[in-house]
Amino acid sequence: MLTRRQFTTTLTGGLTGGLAAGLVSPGRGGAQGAAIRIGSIFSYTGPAAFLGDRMKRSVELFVEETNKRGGINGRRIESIIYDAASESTKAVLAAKRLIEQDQVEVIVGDGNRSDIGLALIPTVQRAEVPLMSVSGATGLVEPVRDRAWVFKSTVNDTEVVARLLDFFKKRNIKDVAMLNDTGAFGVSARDQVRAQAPATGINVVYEEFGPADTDLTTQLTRIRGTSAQAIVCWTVTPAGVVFLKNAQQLGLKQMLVHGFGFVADRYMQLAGDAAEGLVLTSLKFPIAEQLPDGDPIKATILDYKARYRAKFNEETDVYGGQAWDGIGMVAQAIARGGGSERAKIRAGLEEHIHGYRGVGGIFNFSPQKHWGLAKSDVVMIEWRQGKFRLVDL
Amino acid sequence: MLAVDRLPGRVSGRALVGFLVAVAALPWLLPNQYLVHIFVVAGVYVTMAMGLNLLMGYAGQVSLGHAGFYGLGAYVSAVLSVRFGVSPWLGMPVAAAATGALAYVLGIPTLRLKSYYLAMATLGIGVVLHLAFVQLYPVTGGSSGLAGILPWDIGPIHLTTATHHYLLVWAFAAAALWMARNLVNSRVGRVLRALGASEVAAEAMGVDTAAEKRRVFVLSAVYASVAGSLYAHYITVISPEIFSFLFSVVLVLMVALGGIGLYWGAVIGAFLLTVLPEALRRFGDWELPLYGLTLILVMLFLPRGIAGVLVRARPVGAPAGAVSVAAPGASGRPVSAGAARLLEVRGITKWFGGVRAVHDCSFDVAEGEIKAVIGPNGAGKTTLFNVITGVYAPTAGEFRFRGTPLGGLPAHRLARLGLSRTFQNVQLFPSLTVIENVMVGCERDAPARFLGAAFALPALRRESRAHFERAERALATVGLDGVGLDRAGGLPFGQQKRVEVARAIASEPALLLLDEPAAGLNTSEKVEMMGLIGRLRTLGISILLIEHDMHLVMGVSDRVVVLNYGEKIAEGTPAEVQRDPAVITVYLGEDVAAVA
Repeated sequence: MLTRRQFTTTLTGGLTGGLAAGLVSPGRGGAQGAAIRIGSIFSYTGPAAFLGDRMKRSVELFVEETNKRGGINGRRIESIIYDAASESTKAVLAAKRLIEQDQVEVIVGDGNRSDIGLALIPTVQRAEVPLMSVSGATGLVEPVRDRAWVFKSTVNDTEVVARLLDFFKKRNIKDVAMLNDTGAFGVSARDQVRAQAPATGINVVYEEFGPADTDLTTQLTRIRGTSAQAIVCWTVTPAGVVFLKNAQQLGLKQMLVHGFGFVADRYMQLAGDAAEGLVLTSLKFPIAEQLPDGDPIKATILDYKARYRAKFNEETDVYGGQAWDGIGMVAQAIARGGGSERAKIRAGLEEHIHGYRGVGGIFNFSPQKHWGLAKSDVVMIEWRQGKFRLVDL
Repeated sequence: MLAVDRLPGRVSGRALVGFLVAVAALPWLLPNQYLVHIFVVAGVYVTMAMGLNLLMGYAGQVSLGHAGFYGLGAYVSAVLSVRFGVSPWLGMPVAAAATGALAYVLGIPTLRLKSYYLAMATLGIGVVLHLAFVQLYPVTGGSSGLAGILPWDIGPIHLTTATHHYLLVWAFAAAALWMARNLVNSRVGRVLRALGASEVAAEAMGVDTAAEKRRVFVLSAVYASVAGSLYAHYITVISPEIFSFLFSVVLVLMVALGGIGLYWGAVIGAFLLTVLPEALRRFGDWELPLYGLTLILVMLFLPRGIAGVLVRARPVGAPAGAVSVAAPGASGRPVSAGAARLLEVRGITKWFGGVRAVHDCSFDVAEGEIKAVIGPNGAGKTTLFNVITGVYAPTAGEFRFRGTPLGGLPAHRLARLGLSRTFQNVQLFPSLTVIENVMVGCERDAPARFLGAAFALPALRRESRAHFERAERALATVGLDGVGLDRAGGLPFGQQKRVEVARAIASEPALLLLDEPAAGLNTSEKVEMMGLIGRLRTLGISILLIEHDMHLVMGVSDRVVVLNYGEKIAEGTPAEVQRDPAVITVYLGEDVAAVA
């Protein structure tokens, strides 16, 4: 039997030794020199977790399937995934750890929120490590000159806003209220609307809210007093649900629109019947089954959905698809570019992603363009009777 | 080495230098920059934890709001740099000044509170600051955080690698540790520990406890602010979550895990809580359970913290010979011959709601006199005492000390005028050594100079030596030479009472108020106490005492005041009072007759 004194001494000693060992020894599987190390940062806890957990699983699914097939050019992928917990600072720390400690070649996933992605840029630019962003703000990849190491696997809000304004013109909607969150995703979209709306002759009034807000009645009441025919809400956080519920409580009859950061069936279910008839800007993903058979990416989407369902026994969503596309394009860049060094992956992405059929659309990267999708990849959908339905292709 | 440098609890300068040398070498021993990065963060946390340790561990004031000050330091200099391009070298001091000023203002009301209430109030400060970071998004970037913060540079040199930042951050941490060490070793450290142990006693010894608490609160807030600025300009991105309530708890944990009130505890705790999550990260989903388990184990088995294990080896009571005791000598002034009035009590009345505790009570204490106040239980003796010592404000009446009206003065001001006291239920500082307890008595001279102590000015060293010698003389006077390095809380009760008297003597008072000096003493101890009270007179100290023990009162007093139901019923020499029929009635004759 140890005396109490011996026990405490052992505990102290063990703690010190354990800490030292835990720190200095390399991360998982350090000995496999031939493996390609791919790091990922997703927020699978915190307010952005709605998006992050399917992204994380999609990356895990891709890595598992690729390794089962023998890896990329015969080399295994070693995946290291950290949680950013919806915090910019945690994401930056995770990136430092991936770059310095785990020595990854590339990072897929930027904490799945635009502001977190923007916070990561200085770190990856300085370390010269390619980052595949999965978030919406245009500022993540523009200007390319200052974002040489950043790519993204979803559409820019520039295109989404353009598509939305087209839709309003088609429906003869002249007065619109823009209600964005104060995060980078919302602010970036607002700036796009400000820039593009004047040319289309659409009048816009602006309101905003904090991403963690739990009541938007004040803003909606002010909007009710305007002539707005449609209210556009732009956020990725659960505050978007509050928007729908408050609008229902106030009995607003205007068309309610959400941006492309809110196309999640779970959000719709949270909002209940307040989401009925909600119009959303989206990639084709949620309405893949309703696409004509000739659509170039219909089969790709259905294939990914089926594989995800088989592995995790649950449905995926468009955001899981963005991560799936992100790691898929990195894998292709490595396979065709002929190397997994950081600079070669970067070059590979610029040179070898042409007409890539992702689940989000057809991707084309170039040295001048680090976002792959175009306005034609964006569709208008609505939520009706428990399903997303195509409104305007 | 001087005896004063051998007091337990002093932080060895050699140990600190050794630690800092090891720290300076560390980056070259680590295999990669990420590990260096972890120790950059550790340096930030060490700075903050040390500040909090001074506040919590030494002064005993809990704060659950320090993440707010950390955040304020980070945000002020970050916002200045992002919005106005201000260099961090300017932003950091601006942030520290702003945080210090805020802490000063907030400290005035909140530091009046104690324990749980103080914890809640500081928690409120932290929560409000955090909310401000989230809600003031036009300035702070809101919950998205603030990116594009200017990185540190030294002149034209940009700090790029983690090692560069490591050296910068640890230079600040070293300065913070050095200043904290000086404070801990100085008179200020002693005062902080004293007020942490018993605010009433510290106040009665002339310590302006409110001011000292505010100073250490401001200092710890400034430490947190500097840490925040260091962090913000290192990471170059900040978001409000890192400054949330949860981080305040982590900070408190650092101090507690390392060993509360132990200098190295804060350092160890900060290292542990920085490194532990990183070391556990490789266990994936098990990270959080393992983290929690480690904390539980440490708290269960190392209640005094990790540093507590390291210092436990040292016996608490050092060999008696360690303190060289000067020959007992008169430390006070010669007995003044005149019968000038020292204390004049005029018409003091004190009501508690509908209860009249003291009514229209008047008497004088003359220079060199020993005066006793007696009376049966509930006669109002203790209330009268508390009014004179500034604990209660009188409802009516006034009292003057050497002609100066004392009404409404706080206890520490009375002490500085030359009124010292002991307590009925001994109020020592149990965790301090006996000699340190007595040294606190010297605080009445002049307030401890906080900044001077932080920079270890030589004048303060001389002063410290003088206090030590004065305390030794006072201990000799009460016959307690030899126990100077024992922990005061470990002494037998009778000796504790004498330590209290020694502490009062060390303040060289003109008037000493003794609150039931014989309470709880056995017969032989009472005899010693009587002898001691007699000796005090030869030091030129006048005495006002409250006592139940008739034998003691009649044996030492020059004059006696008798209270009953809050009113003075008699005053005179012991012999006169014992003959007074009113007094005999009150006491039913028995006690008085026995002495007579």
